[in-house]
Amino acid sequence: MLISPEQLTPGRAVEADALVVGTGAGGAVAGRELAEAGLDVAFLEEGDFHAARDYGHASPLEAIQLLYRKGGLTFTTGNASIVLPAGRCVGGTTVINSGTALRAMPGAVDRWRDEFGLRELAANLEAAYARVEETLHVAPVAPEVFGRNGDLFRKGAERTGHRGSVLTRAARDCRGSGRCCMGCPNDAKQATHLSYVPRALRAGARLYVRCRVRRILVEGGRAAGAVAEAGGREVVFRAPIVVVAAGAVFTPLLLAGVPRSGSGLGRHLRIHPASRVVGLFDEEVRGWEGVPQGYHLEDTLEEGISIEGIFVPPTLMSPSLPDFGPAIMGRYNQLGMIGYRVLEETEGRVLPRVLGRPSSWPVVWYWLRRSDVTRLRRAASISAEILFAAGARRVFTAVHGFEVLDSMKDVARLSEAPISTGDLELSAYHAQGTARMADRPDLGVADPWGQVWGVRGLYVADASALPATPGTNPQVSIMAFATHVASGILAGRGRALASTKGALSPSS
Amino acid sequence: MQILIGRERKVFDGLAAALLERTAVSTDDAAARVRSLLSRSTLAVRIFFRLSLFLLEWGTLFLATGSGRFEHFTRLPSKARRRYLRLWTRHKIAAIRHVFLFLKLLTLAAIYDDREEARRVGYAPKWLC
Repeated sequence: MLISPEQLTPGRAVEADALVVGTGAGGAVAGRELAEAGLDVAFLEEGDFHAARDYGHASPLEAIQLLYRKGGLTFTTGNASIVLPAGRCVGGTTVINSGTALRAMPGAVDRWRDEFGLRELAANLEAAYARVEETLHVAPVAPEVFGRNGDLFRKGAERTGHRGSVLTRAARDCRGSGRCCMGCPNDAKQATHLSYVPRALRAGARLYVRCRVRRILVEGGRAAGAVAEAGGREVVFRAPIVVVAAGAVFTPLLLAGVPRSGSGLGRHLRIHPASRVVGLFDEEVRGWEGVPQGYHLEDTLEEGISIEGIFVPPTLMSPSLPDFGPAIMGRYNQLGMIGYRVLEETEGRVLPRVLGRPSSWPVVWYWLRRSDVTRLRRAASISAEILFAAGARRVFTAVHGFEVLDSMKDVARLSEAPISTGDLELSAYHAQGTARMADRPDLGVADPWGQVWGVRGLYVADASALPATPGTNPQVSIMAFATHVASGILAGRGRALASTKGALSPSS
Repeated sequence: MQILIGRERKVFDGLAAALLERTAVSTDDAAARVRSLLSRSTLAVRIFFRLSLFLLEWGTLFLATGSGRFEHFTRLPSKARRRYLRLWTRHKIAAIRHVFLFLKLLTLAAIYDDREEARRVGYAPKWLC
């Protein structure tokens, strides 16, 4: 059942077995698992519900205003202003990502287990991934929607001796419309508003939209509910289980007001800083025909560099091209694009308050390290080399001083150049790690089952719980974590709630 | 906070015309899109945008090195405006460069969000038709 603020009775508290704050990759998964086990689940979602009928034919900016937080104009603060967009709608960022569905790299799972003591998670991970992949219809990109942009990337990778593969994605009957990041016009991409949330609702969950949680209620060291703002009014929700899944930027804000014993809240932020290169080809590419993110390199992952196909409309790409006017823009159908990002050493921080006051967009402090700048330079060089090998006549980068590359000689110059952070135009899409799970409170905010140290019944089940990067696009790993957290809840207090559903007062 | 009114709008129009390299550009829709987008952004972003326009207008007086023209941006011929924009978006000082890149980002995004403009540059997906 979907409930809007107008349907809420003023002054009356809403009760449930479990509150789930957020409906993105973490919240939707946890909510579905709990609801299907018989718990009375209430999703609290700040955004509204939208489907292809709302965004499928919207222009890029219209879609961004509909689906993104703050119109997509959200940035980090530090030695580089990195665009850090996030979804604000039912489905969260899964509605606006590329749908790429990759499991964590083996080294990452070892690290979660050995360094952070997540032994149960590591043992459950295979089953959790399998369940997520089945729900999302994860499969490799079909050849008929691979697209010319992907073909050129693959050709260039093969010619330069790189090992790559077709990406697996969460999509069903994809028609290759080429605009994943503005909402799939056919609702083929299996974002959580089409996959997990409907399953939860069928199992009896309630979905409160346009309902922004302001604080978590804790009574006697135990979660008791949340206070939200809905339709300009304050609404109290009461439940003995609260799952916070507001994303790596907003989850720390909610947990900051909770008396907890763990450490590192808001710290250890990783975002996978990213950029792109564009190639101008003599032939027609028509990059919008096909899946934008259909192919990636595997060998560069070992050195912390992820290189994947991308293609975006002129609205989003025109500002990044080196010149104005028709010289380049007028040949948009001849452009091929590759995106790259690094698995960084830098750790940023989310500061919950700006000048001592809560903010609608917190300060996301991020000071990019020298080693990551070097890695980004290498990623740009590899990507440019691939485009030239694929037949590009010119390559455009987002590196100052190297905006236009005319030959491989220019690429060689770029790969040796002494560039600094300010020379890079960066964006990031994978914020994570700000409320880590660990087996010791001095190492993380939540225990190995996602329960916040020092507060019974309060759980973290989103990207902020990842103690270290999965080394790949994190969506499926976040979902596997949330599956694991839900299983822990159900094995403990949730089991009692499920078996006595309807007979147990939330305050008991 | 009201944006793109009065002098700001004039600067934005000059910027849009210079970026598009056309003499007569109707920027009403683009201005409306920027207003709409910024109305959802944080206050800091809106303030930064207004300051950037201010800097653009006065930039030719304070940053116009070696050009021989010391005028407000809006009073320059379009060829000179384009020249300054190119210089500033590639300026050696990162802070200056990023201010103008931000202006370029918002203005071009608003211009190419128009279906006709997108088609004009060869972008023709089915959902756009």
